[in-house]
Amino acid sequence: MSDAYKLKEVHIQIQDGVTLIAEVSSVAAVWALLDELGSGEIKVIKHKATSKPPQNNEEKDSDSPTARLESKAELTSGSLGAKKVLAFKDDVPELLKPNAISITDAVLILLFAVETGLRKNKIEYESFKGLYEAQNIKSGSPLAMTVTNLRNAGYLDKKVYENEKSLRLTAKGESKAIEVLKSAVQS
Amino acid sequence: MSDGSPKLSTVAPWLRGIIDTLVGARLISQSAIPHRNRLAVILLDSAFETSCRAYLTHKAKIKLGDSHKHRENLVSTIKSKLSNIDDVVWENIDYYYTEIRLDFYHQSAAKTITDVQLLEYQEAIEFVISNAFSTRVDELANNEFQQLIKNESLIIETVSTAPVTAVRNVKDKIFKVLIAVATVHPKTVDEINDFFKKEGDSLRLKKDDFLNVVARNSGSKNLFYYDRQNRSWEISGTGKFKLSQLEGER
Repeated sequence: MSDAYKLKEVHIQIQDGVTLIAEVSSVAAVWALLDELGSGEIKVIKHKATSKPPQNNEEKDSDSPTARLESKAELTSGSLGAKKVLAFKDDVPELLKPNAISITDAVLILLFAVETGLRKNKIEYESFKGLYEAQNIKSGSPLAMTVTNLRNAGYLDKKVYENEKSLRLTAKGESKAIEVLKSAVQS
Repeated sequence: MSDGSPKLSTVAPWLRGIIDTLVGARLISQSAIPHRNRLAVILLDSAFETSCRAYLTHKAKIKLGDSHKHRENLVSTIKSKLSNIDDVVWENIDYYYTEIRLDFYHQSAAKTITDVQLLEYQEAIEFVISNAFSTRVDELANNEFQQLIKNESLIIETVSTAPVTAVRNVKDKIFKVLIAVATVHPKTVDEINDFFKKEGDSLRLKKDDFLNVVARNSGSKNLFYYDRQNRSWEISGTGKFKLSQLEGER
């Protein structure tokens, strides 16, 4: 044994909550003790490697509104924020460069964000108007006319709009919104 | 166009009558009158035409001559001054004037238009007026309309002043205030507390508490703004959106 250190005692956990403390003076004594414990009824427990429980933030991130959008649009995780396309603040979608895309594209993205990100299958026109106006989009025409164009193009559910004054993307509208998002991320 | 909350204290006198006409259109369109949309179209058109004259006279400083008595010339002149507005908006207004309004006003008393058509026409008209006067006339008219039905709630039976969602079901103080502001358009904190009391909610706010909530959450991207003319707190576009989320969570 080297003179660089001096052994005094060894602590061996033999069960959960039970630790054996033995006085030793050499490494050989430690091995002897372990052999003795191993040959007897007392078994030294082996800790199983346990997987680390998922962190709350990780769970949250994988089920965040942004993650849901990226997943449905098959975009790389984090790309919407990295490319400054869209973010959610307190569950309110926000276009990060609202004037970099056309008005119709902006409306499609916002509706897709509401439906997929916030899991709402439709939104009242007046509520959506509030969201749209909060984006500070510069436009040469009012929202209602953009909505009419989108309805005529088959991107919005006509019945929901006419009967309930609410907005909902059609399957065609959702595909178009995904296409717009992909294009915005790639540009 | 201004991007923040409308400041009614700065509204020019020639715009006040126009806003009242827009409020009148709202009152009619939300009434139970069967041909309400037809009547609203006539009022909206009146607001548009008088706005054109007011804009050219007071903002563009153009002396109106005999030629401007013709609507076509009037619209053509204002259109040349407001080049940031898309052609499709002018085409829309022209369509509703020639195909709908003229017929409604002079010939067919039995016809009307759908709610969707009225919404599109109203937004087109208010978009032009807002751009012309750099003022959100739609918000001004909405606020006036809300104050009117608050003060004279019997005037329109169909308009409900009930809260959009039960305040007791909401835990967050900010969202409770959001519901209260959306419902009562308060001038003082007492109105907020009266609302909570009426709704059976135990929350009571001191003046400073209330001002802290609304002031910290005000601004173009936040939940509240202060209407200077009516001296009342109102909810912003984001506030309306957030309110709809609360409704969805019920």
